[in-house]
Amino acid sequence: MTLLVERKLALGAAFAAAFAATLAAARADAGRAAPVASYTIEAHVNAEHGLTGRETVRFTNRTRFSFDDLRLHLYLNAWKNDRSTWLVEQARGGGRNDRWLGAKDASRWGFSEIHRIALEDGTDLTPSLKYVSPDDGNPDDRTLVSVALPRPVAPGETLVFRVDWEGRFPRAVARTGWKDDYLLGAQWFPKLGVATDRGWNAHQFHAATEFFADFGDYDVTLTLPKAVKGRVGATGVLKDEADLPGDLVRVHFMAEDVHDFAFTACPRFDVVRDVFTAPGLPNVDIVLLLQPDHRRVRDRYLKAVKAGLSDYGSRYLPYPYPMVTVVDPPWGSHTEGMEYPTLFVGGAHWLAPAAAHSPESVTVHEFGHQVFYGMLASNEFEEAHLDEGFNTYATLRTLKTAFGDPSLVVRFFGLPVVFPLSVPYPVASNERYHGWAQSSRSDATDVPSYRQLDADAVRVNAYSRTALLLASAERTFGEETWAKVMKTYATRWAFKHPTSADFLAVVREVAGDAPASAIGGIWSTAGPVDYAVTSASTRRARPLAGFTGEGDARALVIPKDDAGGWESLAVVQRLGEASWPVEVELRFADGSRMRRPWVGDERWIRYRVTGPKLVAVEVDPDHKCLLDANPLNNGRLTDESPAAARGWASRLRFWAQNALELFSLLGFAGAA
Amino acid sequence: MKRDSVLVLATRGLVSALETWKALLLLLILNVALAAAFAHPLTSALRQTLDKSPWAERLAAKDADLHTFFTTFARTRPDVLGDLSKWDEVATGEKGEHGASGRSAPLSGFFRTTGISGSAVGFAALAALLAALFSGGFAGRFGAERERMSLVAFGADAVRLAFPSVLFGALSLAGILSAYRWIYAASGTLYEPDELRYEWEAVGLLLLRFAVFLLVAGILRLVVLYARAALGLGTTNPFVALARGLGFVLGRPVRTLALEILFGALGVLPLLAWLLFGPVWDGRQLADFALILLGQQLVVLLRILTRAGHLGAASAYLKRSKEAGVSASASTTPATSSTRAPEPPANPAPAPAL
Repeated sequence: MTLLVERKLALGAAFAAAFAATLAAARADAGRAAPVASYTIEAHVNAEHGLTGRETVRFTNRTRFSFDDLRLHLYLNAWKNDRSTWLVEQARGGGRNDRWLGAKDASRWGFSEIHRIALEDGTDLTPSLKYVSPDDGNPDDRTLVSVALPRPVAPGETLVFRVDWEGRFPRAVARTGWKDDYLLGAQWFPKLGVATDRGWNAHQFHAATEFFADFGDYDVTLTLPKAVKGRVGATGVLKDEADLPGDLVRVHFMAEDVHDFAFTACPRFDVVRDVFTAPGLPNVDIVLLLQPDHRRVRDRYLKAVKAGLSDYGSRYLPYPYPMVTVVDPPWGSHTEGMEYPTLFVGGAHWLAPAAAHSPESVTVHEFGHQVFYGMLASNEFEEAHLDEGFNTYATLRTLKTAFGDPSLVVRFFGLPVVFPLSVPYPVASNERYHGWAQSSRSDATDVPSYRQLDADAVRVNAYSRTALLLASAERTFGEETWAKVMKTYATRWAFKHPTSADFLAVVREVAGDAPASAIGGIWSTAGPVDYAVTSASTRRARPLAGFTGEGDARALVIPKDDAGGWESLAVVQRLGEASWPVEVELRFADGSRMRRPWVGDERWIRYRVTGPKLVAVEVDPDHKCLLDANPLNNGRLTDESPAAARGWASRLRFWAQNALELFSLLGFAGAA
Repeated sequence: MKRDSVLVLATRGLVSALETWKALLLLLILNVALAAAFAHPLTSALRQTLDKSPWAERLAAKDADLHTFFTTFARTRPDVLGDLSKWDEVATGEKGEHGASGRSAPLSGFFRTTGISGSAVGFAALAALLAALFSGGFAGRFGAERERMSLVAFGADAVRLAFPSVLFGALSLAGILSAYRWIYAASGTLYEPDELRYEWEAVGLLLLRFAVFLLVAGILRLVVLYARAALGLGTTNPFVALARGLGFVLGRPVRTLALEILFGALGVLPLLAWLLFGPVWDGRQLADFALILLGQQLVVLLRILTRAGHLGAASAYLKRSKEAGVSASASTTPATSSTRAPEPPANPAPAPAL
């Protein structure tokens, strides 16, 4: 019996492999991704946010590895018990800023449980299902299962299996779940890990990192309470919507060449439709699912999505899907700012001054993930910077182009106040990195993200450090060269899960060895970049004094006057652990300037110049290296220029007077 | 116009305060000295950072990147600024909002902060103590109705009323902090803002809590203010003065609050005007500096004047009420009135004007 099954499987596999290879070739010709993991899902979500579902998964092994088991993520089990890896990491400060209130509130818990898993021919694999914890050995974590196969899936073979499961969405946390009548269904179905040449790449659900999955096609039918009819959004395109008995509605979505499927539903959504058109880029239907209290930001959402479609489309990759769905989440849902294929969640305040660039910034950023997360699809468990950092760099570029720099906006007791102070992209929005670099520097960027010390390390490495690194590279190696690097990387590696090494290879190919080495160097150290001019002096040049000549020609010379020129000395030091190629500029009293490049890998360099009087020395005068932890020590004047400090001191003393006056008033109330 | 209308009382208070101009100037001088000492570490650090830096030129430009300069300065000189997040939390209402989650209590941790952030607590206490001591002098002079210019008389009143003034100050400080902790912050533990359906509900509740806190703090301020005024008018027992203050404010809540709001606005106006229209010294011409400094001191002086004026108005209001009470009694029982004459002003002995 077993043999017969194996023969059947082998024959089936051979046929499937041949079919898959043909299909893959056809799809590649059409510019599409060869599917590895495709899902047909039928699921029902009830009014209590319970979930029952059945999925048929078609896994095609496109690696050189033979898989003797399946690895499936059950992400909703992150909230199954308080010893899950996600909750343990969250409790020790390793995750998002969400406050976990599960101990107080039963609605905060969720789960995902496989009832039956079987091959297409009915072979029941359920008895071999076991929970595994490859990352931390946590026996209480239930977010990853291994299911043994009766025989390995060989390279080229396709395996079809069915999963019956049940689950429950928690009160929204970490951007999945519900709040009031709103639901964001994300990470909700049993999902295969990523098949690689070294076996499965499948991690437990960690508090600070996100996801990684293979591409495939999704055919999903959802049954939901009828109240949300016409107000359901999901990955892909809505094919059908029909009423069902029992006050239910059935929606059918299909998506191709994606690696995840998420959906949202809320009876309060305002459904706004628009179309993006731009020369040279494909048209895209935009669906905005807007909260009623955010109607005033409707056009700002749409403008931001279009800015993303246009700028990312021309700089990196044209958006290849026919539709993008933008979800505006309700207040307090903890689902804002998250990306899924062809659908992303923005986020807006009830009072949103235009100067704050919100919701523009989150909209452009989450849209941008459609390129780096959606199409390039790097491993976010291990190399989160390839998505978040690259996308943050790209976001800030797009925002600056489309909207300029924002102003400082501070919320006083919930009310936004706009200050007339520019908060320039990309430095100001990544200030967090410098604070971390000063206080922690626990991990280099190339340490696998899920293994980094805490959430700060992951966030800083994944977002700010890499964003500033890429922006520095653009300024240092030239905008044109850098644009070519990014375009080559995006187009070459779309749908192929690139790694940092793949990116560095592109940099080396397009920009040269030095840029690749500089970028790789930054990624491989946790230390900061900090260049400083530590001394700059100038004095009248003196003619030679002492004995001149030899023998009979020897004469003692004591010059009475200085020579005509000046002798100047400057020392530039690398105070930080990391290095970056910089320029050093010396400015002279006659207006002339001298610039010298410095690779910057030595600890210091000294400049000795004779000529006009030296006025100032500055390292990285154009502020190309945005990673520099302290740009205030980058320059030095030979003579004091106290006016600025005096002016500011005058202002500060006045503010201190008024602060003390306020203290008088508040402290000893009623005192004169 | 009625003699106890808000405008008349405010005018009388301001005129009374102006009569004590020497004391006002003395308070300004002390304010300048304290502010200079308070800001000194920061201004010195700025000079260290800027005097030999190309940033000095950059900051002079109209489109100077102030954000980069000051965020970098704050980050690289934690020894100077300390941790400003505590002040930030109080100013923006952040901490009160998150009190429900079992995080550290609002207002906790101020005494552990370092740098300017920490010294601000000490300077605040010192400024408040000075203000309390001065309030005794002002209350005494407003009660006396003469020799208001005399610094000697002012000093004598300040010393005579020092204990109750400081006591009132301490009580009002404790009251205001308690109101913040137990009204504003504690009410935040009663609900989770995220659980509300709309953000405007959360903001509305937050503002409501803050408004209630402000109202209570305002009433506390008023009670203490009128108690001080009562001291100046001759009530010797501080607890009786407090009781008089409380009774007076509760008996006339609208007008006393209106005066509070009026003087609050008058105190903020000069600062707002300076912010919007005041010139900024570029650190170069000393003549410009002198003019700007004069303008700045005028702003602070006006703010001090309004504070003193409020006490003057309270004093006038108390006197006016007493006179009205006396005249009402006199008019109803003219022949048999046993009502005492108004209390003699404190420290009636003439003092030489300085």
